[in-house]
Amino acid sequence: MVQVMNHHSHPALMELHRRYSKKLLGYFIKMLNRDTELAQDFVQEIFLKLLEKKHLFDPEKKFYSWIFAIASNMCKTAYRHHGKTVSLHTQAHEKAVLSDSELEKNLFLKALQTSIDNLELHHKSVFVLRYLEHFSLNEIAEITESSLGTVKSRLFYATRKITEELKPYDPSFETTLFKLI
Amino acid sequence: MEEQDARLVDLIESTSFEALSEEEKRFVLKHLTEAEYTLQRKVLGAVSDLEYPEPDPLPLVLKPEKKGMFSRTIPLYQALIGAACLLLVFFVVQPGKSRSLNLNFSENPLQVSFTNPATSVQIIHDTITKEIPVLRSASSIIRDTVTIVQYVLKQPENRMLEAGNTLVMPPLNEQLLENKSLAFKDDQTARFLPQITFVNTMK
Repeated sequence: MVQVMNHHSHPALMELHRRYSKKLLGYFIKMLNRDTELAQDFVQEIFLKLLEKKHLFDPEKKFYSWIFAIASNMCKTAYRHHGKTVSLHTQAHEKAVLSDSELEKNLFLKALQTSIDNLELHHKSVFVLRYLEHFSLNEIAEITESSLGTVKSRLFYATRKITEELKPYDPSFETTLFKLI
Repeated sequence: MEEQDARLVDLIESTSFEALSEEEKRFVLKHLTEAEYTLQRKVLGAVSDLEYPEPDPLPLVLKPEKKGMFSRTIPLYQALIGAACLLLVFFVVQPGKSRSLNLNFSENPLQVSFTNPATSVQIIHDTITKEIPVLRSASSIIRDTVTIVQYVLKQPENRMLEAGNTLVMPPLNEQLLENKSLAFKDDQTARFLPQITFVNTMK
């Protein structure tokens, strides 16, 4: 694929776009708090960046990891310039009467989504890559240019932060807590 | 600390609290309660149920292809002119040129005049190399050659009164002392003189 890219041909770029744009768009939507328009712009931009930075690609590494590393850096830059995007789903924090199990589940999922949106960028990035995009830990370490231990540590803190915010929505937690007390 | 976090992540991802060994339970309970551990597992399980919008990506729109500076082609005549300029710069600016300081002293000091015994000495400071640092050029240092010519007026070591008999006198001969002039009346050139009439006004 990269050999084709080296010839600077548009068909090769189109092929890359066909293969990776859907996955990249999903990642950007999750990282940019479901801002679909901005995510579409980012997908366009990342393929232009590929042309500019193709000389930086190391053929020893996976192309997939490299393109997601660029995507991760783009999100980092967006956060730095615009700050964290405020989620529109804050109403999920309102504690409701959990009478219906389906409603309870929906509220829990909304609260979970909001908690993910509100994570710090370096925590959110590894969490999304691991549990929403299903990358291996080694691939995440490569994408985020950090060690495996750092990736695991960030995952643990991200999960713990989310758990702290979701305690009120989990009846079993309350039950267990009651038991412990 | 990082190692403990990593182990906790491995355990949370892989094993329920009930399935943990006694040693693993003790390790987990140092950092989390059983409820927190279970909730973390529940969170990881619920993540897959999250719904995100999944629109189709827009078709790729590429700008007109840009060519990099180094990938552009230039006409042959421009390449030849460039090469010629490079050679010119190479021959004009010679960075390895040796530096020397030549002091030339005149072997025979020039006498200012016959009557003034003072002499002038010409000192030529030749090939003084001056280095001028510049930021970016073909050579990082421009070497400039300066020739300085210095004239030094040198007074005689001996004063005139203390000097010996150095005054050169023309040879005296008798002809110089001889009176060869003609009388006015015999002088043929006297006719060219204006006629003057003396009038005695004292009378």
